[in-house]
Amino acid sequence: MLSRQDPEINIEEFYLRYGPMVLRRCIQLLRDEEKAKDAAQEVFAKLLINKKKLKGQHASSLLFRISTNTCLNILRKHRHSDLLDSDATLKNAVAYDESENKIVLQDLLRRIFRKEKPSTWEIVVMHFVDGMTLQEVADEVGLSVSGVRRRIREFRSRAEFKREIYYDK
Amino acid sequence: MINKRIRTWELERYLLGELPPSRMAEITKLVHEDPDIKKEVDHLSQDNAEILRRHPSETMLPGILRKYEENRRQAQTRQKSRFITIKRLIYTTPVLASALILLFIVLMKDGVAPDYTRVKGEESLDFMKTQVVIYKKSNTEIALLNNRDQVKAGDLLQLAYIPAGKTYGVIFSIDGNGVVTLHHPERKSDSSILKQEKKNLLSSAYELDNAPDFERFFFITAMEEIEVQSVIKKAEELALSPASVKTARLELPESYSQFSILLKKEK
Repeated sequence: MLSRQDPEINIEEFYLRYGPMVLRRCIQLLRDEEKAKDAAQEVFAKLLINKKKLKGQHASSLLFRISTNTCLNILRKHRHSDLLDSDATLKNAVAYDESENKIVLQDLLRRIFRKEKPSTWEIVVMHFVDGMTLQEVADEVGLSVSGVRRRIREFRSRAEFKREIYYDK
Repeated sequence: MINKRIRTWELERYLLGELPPSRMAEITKLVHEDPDIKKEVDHLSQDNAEILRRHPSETMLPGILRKYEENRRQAQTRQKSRFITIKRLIYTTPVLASALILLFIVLMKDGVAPDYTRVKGEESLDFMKTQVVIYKKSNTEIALLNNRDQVKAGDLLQLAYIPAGKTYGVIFSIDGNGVVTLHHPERKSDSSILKQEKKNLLSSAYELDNAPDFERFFFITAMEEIEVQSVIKKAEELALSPASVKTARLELPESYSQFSILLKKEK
């Protein structure tokens, strides 16, 4: 098994230990088991490339981030809407009102996310979908709590702005 | 105060034992006290097993390694294009070029220029093919040996293997005296698991003795653990058969792949 001091990876042992967590994350975000399988393979391939990053941190944390970013990239590339259809969700992120039309909301969310930086996606998903506190998000992504708070505040204000424009049209 | 709200990602890390110690202790306490939380933990454990059943490592690993190889190649291409950009910059910036040449001369004078070792023949290596790679070191260079190349007693060989998606493997050689030498794993009782670098050097080099005629190296691979003892037994049987020892395959399960390379000994 991997020691935290030695970034040597036995990929099979690694897969057996962390594979379920990675696959579960990919299924959660992509909502499609085949796509999730493909994404999970990509996640472990990236881990092999970035194995030096394992030094000094738990593999679960690094894999969780790689999984999140890999899936968000897939969603962005394919303009996938399944994440935005999730019950679990980003509704809070844009102050969703239950009375709003769901299709309109999804369209709005897509427009908002298309313009955001990948690192903002990551923070927003961790905070609003995974229910992480600002401190937990900061620990995960290596930013300060105030940095995370600012990114979320700015995201919400941009989302709110787009929302107003959207409804004004 | 204990935070009773446990998120899925936290529970996953709890099962992996990768949460901060204080939170590990809190959740352990909650698991003992709250049957609902205990149920959640059990459910997640079962779900882990179920995910591995649906996506076993045998079906996932080849894809992981293929993507790793693709990513690595793309990264190399990016690096190359960065190098070309730097080269272009040097050519188009005479002052910078002169400064670099001057720096190089100073480094050479001080004897700190890098010591380059050329590996002859390595550019033809196919990293998608599961194989053993043998290097011969001489005073001036390191050469990659091909099947039926000639070697002599005293030559220093370094073995490496390219797993190309195979997860387990045994490397051994048979010489002209019928002696079987195990190279990987180190001991028959060790696991035959392979490292998954693109190319993996064995930990020690190997000096050829004066056994006559040939050295044949085998690389037996599989996607499951190989019983090294039984492979070596088959190799010893083959070593006793002079008529076929240089060409025959070992009688092994069909799921095992076999690669061999023969080196001829100078008389």
